Amino acid sequence: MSIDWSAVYRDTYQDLHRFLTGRVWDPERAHDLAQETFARALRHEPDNPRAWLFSVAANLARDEARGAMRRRRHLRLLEGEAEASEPMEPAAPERLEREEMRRGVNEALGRLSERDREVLLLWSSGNSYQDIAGITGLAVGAIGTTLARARKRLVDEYEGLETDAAHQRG
Amino acid sequence: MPHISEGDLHAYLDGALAAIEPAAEERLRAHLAACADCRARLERERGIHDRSTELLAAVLPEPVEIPPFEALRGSGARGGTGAPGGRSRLAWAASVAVALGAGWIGHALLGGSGESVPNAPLASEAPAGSREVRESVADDADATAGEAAVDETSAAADIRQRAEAELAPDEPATEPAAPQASRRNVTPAAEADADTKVAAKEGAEDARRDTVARTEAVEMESIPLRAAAPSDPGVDAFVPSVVDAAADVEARGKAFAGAAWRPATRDEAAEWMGRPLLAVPDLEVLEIKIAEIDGLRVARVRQALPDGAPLELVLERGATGRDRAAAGAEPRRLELQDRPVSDALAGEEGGAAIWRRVGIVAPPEGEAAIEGLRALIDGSWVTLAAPVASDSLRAIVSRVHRLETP
Repeated sequence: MSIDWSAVYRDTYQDLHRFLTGRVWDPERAHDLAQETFARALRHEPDNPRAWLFSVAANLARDEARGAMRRRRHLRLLEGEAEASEPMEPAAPERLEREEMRRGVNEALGRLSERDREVLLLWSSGNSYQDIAGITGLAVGAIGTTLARARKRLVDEYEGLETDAAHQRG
Repeated sequence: MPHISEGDLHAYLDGALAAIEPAAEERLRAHLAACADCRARLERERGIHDRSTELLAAVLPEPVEIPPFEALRGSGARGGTGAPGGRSRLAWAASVAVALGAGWIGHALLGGSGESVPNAPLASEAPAGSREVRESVADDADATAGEAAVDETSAAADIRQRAEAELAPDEPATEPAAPQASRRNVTPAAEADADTKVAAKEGAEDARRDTVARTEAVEMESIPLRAAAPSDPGVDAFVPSVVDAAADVEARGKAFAGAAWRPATRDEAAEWMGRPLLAVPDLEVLEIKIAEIDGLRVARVRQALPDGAPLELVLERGATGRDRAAAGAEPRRLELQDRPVSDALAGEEGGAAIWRRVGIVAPPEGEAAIEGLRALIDGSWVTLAAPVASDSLRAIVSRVHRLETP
């Protein structure tokens, strides 16, 4: 089967980058991994490109995310980004709020199980239930259950963090 | 009918229930119409669903600029519509040259032996075959056939062999072919599994090494680096995200490659540049060359990384207006802006250093990618290139200092 890889690249890159950003929490690193994933795909020429790409990306991201040191570096990078993006101006309250929310969501996501986080991010990256089943090996009928659990946990964890932060502030 | 499961409620909210089973949505609606409990649960789950979507929107990126597909051209594609075939090593060398906008960087990295390299590999003196390759890549959008016709001259073959010896001392230059036959007549999931077993196995190992290397790059006191393993695609296939327009970069690459480089001592080079030479003090300097390119005085410093891999620095006398304008025009390309490259050498632009990634140049299968980075240090633009991971190169940049005369 002849696959138009330039079309696959064009159609899938954004979704893959979005997924990887959610997994490694570093947009630039997500670019690297997305490129790496596509490079591998060009070598292996899978028949089902989308499922294959996300499967490999998930593996790369999983391995990447395992290192605790990596997480520490990520936090430093986030701080650096925050400093770098508006170095000369005092941070606007909305921006601080947005940044705080981002950190909170990242932390809440980090408290999900590997499987739940992956399924949630796959869905948020434009994959259908069938796609997700193909990528993860889960039954299609189990995707809704996994998403329900992941969403509830994400919201609960985030709200819990917010409550803790509010207590600390006041 | 029993109450609706949370999974089905979420599948319904996602609009995915009918895709799972066409009649399921109809049954669910009928149940909801008759069951107040499930209607209440649906609203509760809708709240969770919408809130989680809102939270994820806060961390997931907006649509990003997609790097050109051509960036993957040299990454070992074997075919397929729209995917170019494998490129010759020389073609890759040429693409490195053009992509980095400093032709000799890639050329020297591939051709260098760690000894003092004569000027011969430069385009102005290189065999015709080398020039042909460079030019053929410069304008090849569909170069597969053309590349196949490229002859390797003896000198070019020598460059290739030396590159192999330098970059692939222990491992085969190609990886085993994917088990194509086993993928036929299988389900997509099984196919992905089969492919993933091959790719993910290597991916896990590569990514593990990469993670270690990147972590070390940040954590270690000494210069942390690793030459990309010959079979390591961990840093390959990134578009050369140069700020300049492609045509300009191409011309620039040719200008660098064609310059009349001449060897110089540290003192001579410092005098030529009108300022102290910049390099990594801890590393051995293999050679220094100077040239004038388009009226701009340039010095090239070649050093050896601890593992023997080559590091090239290109020093330009002063930051050009074009660079400043281009950097300002694409702030997204700037990495770690306003973070000092070196405490001792804060650059211009308000006392802060600026650096940006020139790009990773995609290697052919089994060869090390060359990472390129351009930094404004001590008021001058310095382009660095080495076959190391991007974090390693960033760490190297942080060690760039004025080179003392021995």
